[in-house]
Amino acid sequence: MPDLLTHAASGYLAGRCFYSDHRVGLVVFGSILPDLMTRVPGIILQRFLELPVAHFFAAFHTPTSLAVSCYGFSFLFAKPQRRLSFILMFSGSLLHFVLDLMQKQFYEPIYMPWFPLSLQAVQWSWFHIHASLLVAPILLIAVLWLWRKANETSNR
Amino acid sequence: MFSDTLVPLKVLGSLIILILLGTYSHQYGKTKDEKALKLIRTCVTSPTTCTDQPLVIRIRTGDWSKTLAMGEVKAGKNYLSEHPIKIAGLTGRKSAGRIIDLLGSFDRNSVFTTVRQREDDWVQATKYIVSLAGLGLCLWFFARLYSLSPGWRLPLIARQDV
Repeated sequence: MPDLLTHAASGYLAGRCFYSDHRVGLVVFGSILPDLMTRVPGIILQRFLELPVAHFFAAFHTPTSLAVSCYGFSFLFAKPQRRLSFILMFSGSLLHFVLDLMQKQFYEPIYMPWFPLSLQAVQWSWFHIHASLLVAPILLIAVLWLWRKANETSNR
Repeated sequence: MFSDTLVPLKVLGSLIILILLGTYSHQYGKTKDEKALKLIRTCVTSPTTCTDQPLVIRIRTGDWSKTLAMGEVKAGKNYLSEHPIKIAGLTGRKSAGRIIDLLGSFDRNSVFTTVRQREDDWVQATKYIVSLAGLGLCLWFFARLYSLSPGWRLPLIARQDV
């Protein structure tokens, strides 16, 4: 996976193409959701506690599970914003998933776009698995610049 | 679908679907892991049966010679200490006890030739730190944009000042 900063920044930049208010936050949340659902419990339970849960949580890093998760999370919002919240969070999640597909894994692909209909994993192998670390600082600067610009506009 | 009726049931339904998907994935992964484990055991105990077959293994390095390293292969939770293998093409410092993931294959002389290697180094550590920074920034950003409403169901509401 690209690092979480790259995912969040790409979510912010994508969200800012359409909105400059709180709705950007939903895209950003969606863009980190797959790793929150998969990596965080995976690292804690599998890496530190050595519980065999990697495959269980891997299911949450698929478009179907992300759609279900975003649907569940949409109920944290009041009814008028619920549908849009779902769409924006899910868009952010899909952006995350597509970025992950672009990576070149160590050997075999690990991400399953068609789960649970097919367990076939896919990778596009466009960039190295650690390449995001080179892009992260640039993205962070772009996000901070846009964030500052948005704040200046709202303060006028 | 997004109405206020039966909200707890909808949320619970989502949770159940996620657990079922996770269980399905776990079962599939378990079967796949068992096959991979069996293959690794077979290849390590008799490398000539797996000549030129691509393998991903985790090893713990032992002694080093000029061109080869000795390594114990991890199978499941344990290392196959009774069947150390010879590894060619390993880069990095020549010390014992390094844990490395390898992609490669056994040749006719039962030497494992490395094509690609991966280990927890400073790059991985940096990635974790950058990810934690990203997570922190996201939480801060989200908290700036949304707050909890006073209602008992605690739906999130957008802050008016943003």
